Amino acid sequence: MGIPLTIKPQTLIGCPNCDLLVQRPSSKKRHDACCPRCGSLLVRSSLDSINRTLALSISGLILFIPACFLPLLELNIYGHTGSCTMIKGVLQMMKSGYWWMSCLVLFCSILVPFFIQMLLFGLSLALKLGAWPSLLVRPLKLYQSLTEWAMLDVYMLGILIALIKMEDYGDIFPGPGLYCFIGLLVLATLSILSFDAGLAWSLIERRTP
Amino acid sequence: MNREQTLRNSGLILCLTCHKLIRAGKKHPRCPRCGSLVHSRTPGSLSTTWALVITGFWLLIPANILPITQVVYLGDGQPDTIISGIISLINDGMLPIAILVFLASIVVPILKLLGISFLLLCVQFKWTFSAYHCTLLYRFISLIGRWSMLDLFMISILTALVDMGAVSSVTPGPGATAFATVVVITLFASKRFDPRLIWDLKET
Ligand SMILES: [Zn+2]
Ligand SMILES: [Zn+2]
Repeated sequence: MGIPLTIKPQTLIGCPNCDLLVQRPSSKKRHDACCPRCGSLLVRSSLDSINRTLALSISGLILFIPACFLPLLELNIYGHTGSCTMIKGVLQMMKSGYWWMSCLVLFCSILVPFFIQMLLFGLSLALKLGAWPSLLVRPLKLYQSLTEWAMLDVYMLGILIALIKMEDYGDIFPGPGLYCFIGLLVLATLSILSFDAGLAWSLIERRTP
Repeated sequence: MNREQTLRNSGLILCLTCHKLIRAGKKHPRCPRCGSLVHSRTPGSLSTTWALVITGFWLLIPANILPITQVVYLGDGQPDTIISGIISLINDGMLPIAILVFLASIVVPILKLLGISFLLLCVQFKWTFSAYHCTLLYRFISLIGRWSMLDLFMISILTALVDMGAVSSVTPGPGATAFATVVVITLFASKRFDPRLIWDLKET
């Protein structure tokens, strides 16, 4: 039982979670499409995806340096002071010999979010200019495989818990890096949400000679 | 024809990377758009996921028995395991945080491993539960997995923040290494499991 040849595959989409064949919703519709059988999100609509992603990823990249190197929290215990930055958290664990854990923290909280912003910036710029479509395949695949390892939101919760937990032990207050980090978290989340990978793939396919 | 039309019985394969539909037929088809190898079902999904889940269960033991942090406060200190850390949070009157840490460090990894094992058993022994709810469980498991990194990030932040030599310090313990491995393994396990196998049970 094959599909009738009169139906073009372009008008159909498949569900990755339950293998159902679904009619592609018309591109005029401006809302998300879910699988009718298992409810997974199939098509995410995003207005003006490329321009928005470009603007958001540039702003995200600018905030990255201060968010990584400025102190997130500052602590004072009876005159002894301490502060933590994202980089220092990784280095300190490395120094105590826990290299596997510190690499994991480095990967999920700094490297992956940074590469994602870089890739989104590069991809949306190239898609906007319409340049080098065949060179975009690898970066786009890399972007898709990295997204689930970006954990800035989990890190944010970690900072909050550390802040509340240490209140009993000494004076703790947020440092300048924390404000940059919150900005970075918002921008990074919005830029991932605004980027439409499906659109990117179809543009690449259309423009490849 | 009241059977739902799936990709498999339509002779199509979905590229999981770029979501292009490809006609099945060739022996090792590649996606013409992104170049990935495409499979109607992820090959070896069951055995790889089983291996990861069993390793994950084993590593839960050292992750919970060995200390994950060594806290020194004003000269004296003791090693803390995940559970003793949560208990001392409750004793300090920080119940909401204790609940959050309990959820992220204990409930999420165990729920994830049990959930994937349940799905694997369903496929292996052809138990037919509601495929819709099984997929819902799978999507839930994939969604919550990353939050178990919470404890590791917290250790990293505290290690840098409380670094005052002999007076006060926080250092990671060997349990943290095991716990980090559990988190990574469960993330890979849910990625490796192919939820379409659940729906195949309905077809046959
Ligand atoms: Zn579906
Ligand atoms: Zn593809």
